[in-house]
Amino acid sequence: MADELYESFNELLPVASVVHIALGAMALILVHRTKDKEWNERFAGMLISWMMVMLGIQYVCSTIIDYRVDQLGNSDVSHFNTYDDIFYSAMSYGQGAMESAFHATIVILPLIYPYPLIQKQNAIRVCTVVILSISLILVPLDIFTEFSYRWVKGILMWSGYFIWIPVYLRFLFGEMLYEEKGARAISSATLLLLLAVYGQVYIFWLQDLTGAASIYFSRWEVEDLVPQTFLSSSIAMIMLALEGTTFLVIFFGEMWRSFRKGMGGLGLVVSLVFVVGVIWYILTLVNYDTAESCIQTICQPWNENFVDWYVFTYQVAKFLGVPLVFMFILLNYNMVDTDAEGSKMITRIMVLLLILVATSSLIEMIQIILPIPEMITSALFAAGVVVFIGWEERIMDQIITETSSAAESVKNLLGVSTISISEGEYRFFSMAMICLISYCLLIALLLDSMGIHE
Amino acid sequence: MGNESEMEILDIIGEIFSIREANVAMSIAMALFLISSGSNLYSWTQTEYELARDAATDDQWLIEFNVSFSSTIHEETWQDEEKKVVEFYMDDFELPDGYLVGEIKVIVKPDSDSNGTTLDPIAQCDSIAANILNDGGLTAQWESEENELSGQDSSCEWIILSLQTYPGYDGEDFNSSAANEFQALLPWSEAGWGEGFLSVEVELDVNTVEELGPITQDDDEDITIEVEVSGFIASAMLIN
Repeated sequence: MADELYESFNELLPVASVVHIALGAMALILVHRTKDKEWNERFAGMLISWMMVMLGIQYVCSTIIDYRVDQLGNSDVSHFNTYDDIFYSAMSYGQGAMESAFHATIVILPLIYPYPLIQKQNAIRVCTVVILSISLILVPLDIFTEFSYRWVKGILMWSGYFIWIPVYLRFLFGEMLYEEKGARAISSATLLLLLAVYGQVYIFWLQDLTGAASIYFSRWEVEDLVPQTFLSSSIAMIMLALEGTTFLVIFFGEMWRSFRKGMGGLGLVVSLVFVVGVIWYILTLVNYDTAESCIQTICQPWNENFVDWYVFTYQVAKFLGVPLVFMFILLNYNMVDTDAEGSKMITRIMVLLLILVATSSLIEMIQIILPIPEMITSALFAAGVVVFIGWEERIMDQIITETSSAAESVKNLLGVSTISISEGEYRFFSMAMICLISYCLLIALLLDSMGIHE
Repeated sequence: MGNESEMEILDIIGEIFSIREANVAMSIAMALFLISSGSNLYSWTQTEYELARDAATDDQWLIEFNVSFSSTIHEETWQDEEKKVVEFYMDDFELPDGYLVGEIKVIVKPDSDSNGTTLDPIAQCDSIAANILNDGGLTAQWESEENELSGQDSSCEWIILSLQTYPGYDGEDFNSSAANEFQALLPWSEAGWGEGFLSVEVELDVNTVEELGPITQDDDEDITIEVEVSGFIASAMLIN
């Protein structure tokens, strides 16, 4: 998309990078202070924190790329004269490298939380080696192939679909049919993890399931500087089916539960995603000619309102929804010890940062679309700040005190191996992640400076 | 606790699939996934991918122009040292539907008798200067090097002027690379060129031999201005 045409497009990127890095760093401090939790809770907390940091760095690169695209042709402030220059630059390589590292990390999360499939003493060491090995191979390979195997790389993300969906169904049915105590804590944690990782793509569930979304992939084949290979785009078609099917599973699951036990917060969120998915399908049909124009005639720009809708659904879910849900999982499922010395303050800062940044960003974006004077939006923001400060204690207490432990429930319901992980192994994992991020950034800089694609 | 307490992976997976009803739901979801992915994959691999790649790959096209002409003639008498501007309205030229104005040719023809007749055998050719004026009245390629906007003659020859109206048009067929027929023809489908009015300025300077001419005193000239408008419609033929 020629983003200079669309005011709201990528507007949230800078905010998202700051929020992800700040929350990831604070969550890491909290997780490292947490001592008396189950090993898989603590390790999942670390994985989530590092994933947030990786996403944050990836968004920093995306923000710089976006700025450079905006400045194309303006030689006073940029030495990038063409889009090719930007595509084959350190920032682009860095963005791809951080995405690869994120994929390599997320493949582990479903294996250990909420139901740990790996129940071995050496779990963290094995996971660390797996993440590093995948990243070491994937990062340069992705850059060498000019990111044309994006969806092949994306297979790593599928572990969540194949593990969390059976886990969700197992504990949902356990709760509904056999009234297993604590099963809801596991199914709700699983559902939240699914929403955190795939929430932004679930909003396309209907067009993914029916195959209507393939028109966008056709358009990208024409539009992209380096199009996806046949293998990569074919795998994307399977991914679409996975997204649509797994969303239907959680939607019907939550509706069933809501009919029996009343509508809860998660039921509402899933219903909202369902409706957004239906609207997206209709809008795809409405904009089908524009999407198809690249194949039939010549690429026509998207309708500006359609882009605004994309920003308010996909980009808000991706840039603000993901950290919000991950933070909620960390705090609500007792993965971090908020009572530890100094932790309460950090938790409080985390909650306020997340809510205030999200609110101000949304108000800013509404201002782009609706012609509301700045005075009014500033007043609205000020009112929001007052409300949040007033309610901060209550919000905090609600999140922290009304917690449930999914790991504890798994232990009680199914029983898990007793595994003791030394403090050194957690530190070793964090050191490995620091090395991984350094490796990603270094390789991006080196490959750019050597001009491998010139 | 030691390794003795570690559960085997098959037992762990077995726990996930320990509820029959959940397994049934899982099977239904799996069936739906297989149907949806099969359908998506089939249409993508069989048609959509190929179409998208075709759209992204340039082919060679032969661009051919079907040309149609429309002309008008203006006859008028110029007095010696008279300069006149004649305006031709482009709407008066009739071209078939869909044709675009490619170029305009202006032919200024002096009176055929001016180079001596039986009545006045030693009459001399008059000096005529003609210009196509860029006075903002016509949308055309005024800066084109192909243009011939001025001309003059004093040997009773026709003055031929030309103005390119459509960008790059010279009436010759040529090869072009484009992803599809639409894109190949896109440069040849811009409306708006050759609209308005054409101003042709003609100045006459009579050459006469007063003492020797037996009959006539030559102080004017009948000049004919013929304007020929070439309209075109382009078609593209795939070469490879």
